[in-house]
Parts: sequence; C-alpha cells; structure tokens
Amino acid sequence: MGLKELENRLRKDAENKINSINKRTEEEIKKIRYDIEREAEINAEKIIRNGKKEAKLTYRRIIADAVIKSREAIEAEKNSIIDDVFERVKNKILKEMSDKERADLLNRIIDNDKDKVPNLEILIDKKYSSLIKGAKASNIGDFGVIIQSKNGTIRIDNTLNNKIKRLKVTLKPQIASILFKNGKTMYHR
Amino acid sequence: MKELEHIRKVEDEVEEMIKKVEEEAEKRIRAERAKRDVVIKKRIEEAENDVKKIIEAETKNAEERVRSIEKSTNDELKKIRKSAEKNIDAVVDLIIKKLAG
Repeated sequence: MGLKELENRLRKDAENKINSINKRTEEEIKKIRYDIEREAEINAEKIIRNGKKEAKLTYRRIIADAVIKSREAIEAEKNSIIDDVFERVKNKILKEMSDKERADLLNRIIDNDKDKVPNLEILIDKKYSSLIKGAKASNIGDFGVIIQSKNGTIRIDNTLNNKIKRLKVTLKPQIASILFKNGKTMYHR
Repeated sequence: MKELEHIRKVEDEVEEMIKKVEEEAEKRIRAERAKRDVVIKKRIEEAENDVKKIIEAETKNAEERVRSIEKSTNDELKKIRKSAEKNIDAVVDLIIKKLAG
C-alpha cells in the first residue's frame, strides 16, 4: 500500500466515522424532541381534560343556581300572595263586614267549640263586646273570642290572629291549589 | 521516516476532526435537552389559554340558558299573579267559612 493510498484510507475512515456520529446525533436529537413534545402533550391533555370538567361543572353550577333562584322567587311570590289573602280576610272582617255579619261569624265560632268546654265563659274584646250577649268584655286586643272553663283548665283561643295562624298551616295546600290552579310547576334541565 | 511522520500527522488531523465533531454533537444534544422546560411551559400555557376559552364559552352558554330561565320565571310569576287575582275572592270566602267552622 502506497503512502497516498494509506492517507486516503485514513481520511475515508474518519469521514465514515464522522458521518456515523452525525447520523447518531440527528437520531438522538429527533428522539429528544419527540420525547419532549410527547411529555408536553401529555401535560397539556391533562390540563384540557380537567379544564373541560371544570367548564361543565361551571355550567351546571350556574344553571343550578338559576333554577334554585327561580324556584325561590316563585315560592316567595306564592307565599306573599297567600299572606296577602289572609290580610284581605282580616280587612274584610274588621273593616267591611257589618256588625250583624261579624256577630254571625262570632256566634258560629262559639257554636263550633262551646260543647268542648264545660262550665264555660266567653271572653271578647271590649271593642266587640256589644256583638255577643253574655260574653265577658276583656282586653283580648283582637277580634274573636276565647272560650274557657271558669276554673281555667280548658281554654280555646279563637281570636282572629290565632285562628288565621292555624289556618295558614292547615289550609295552605287547598288555598294554593285554588289560587294557582293555572300555574304549572316549572322544570329546568 | 518522512513518510511515517506524514501519516502520523494525517492520523492526528483526522483524530482532531472526529473529536471536534463529537464535541459538537454533544453540544447540540445538550442544547436540545435544555429546551425541554421551555417547550413544556409553552405548551402548558397554550393549554391553559384553551381551557380559559372553553370555560368562557361554557359560561356564555350557561348565561344564555339563565336568561331563558329568568324569562320563564317571569312568565310563570305573571301567570301566578293573574290566576291568584282571578281566584282570590273565592279563597277569601273559603277562609271566612273555615274561620267560622
């Protein structure tokens, strides 16, 4: 082998080695880039997945709040109307009825409960004492009567506010069904 | 002797070339690895922006639905008031009847 030939061989070997190093380097860089992109994508997908869940929850929370608010507004309106009805009842009795109508009402209230109390006395506010004969004028401070046994063991408070308080509870479903019979229940998805 | 000297010089020369190529390769690989944090941070920022847009879009959809619910509620309230006004006298009479009973 001549000198020139040996030199060419050395240079050719070096060139092959350099090409091999460059090829390995390109492959390594490609792999590093792929791994980094993949890691970044995995992180991003996780963030987007959680974000989508959060977005759905946000949607549901906003709708649920609105539905609750809507139901509360409807319920509050119904309660307010029912309260107003009872106020109208009071006004009708206290301001619109004639004395005769009031006396009839009181007598019916007394008739309804008088058998439940032995040896009874009837208390009525001084303001209305002229309406019922035989009733004891007292400072009840309300329309209506208190029926009680003379010894005080039994007492039925049939004053207007007390009766209305009881009726508000017992009559509420019936009153609501008459007042709001055209009002359908709302459902929101 | 001169020929041997020449060959040694060529050997040193190619060895030096290979060494430089290897160093350069190492340098490029290190530089590529160093980009990891920046690339990941950038992609995370993009994903967070996407999430922000998704949440904004869902919030907007929800707000539209809320407006529809509010409209239905107002319609319902009007119906309730109308129905109550129509039936209030019957209810007042019923309550007075129940008061006496």
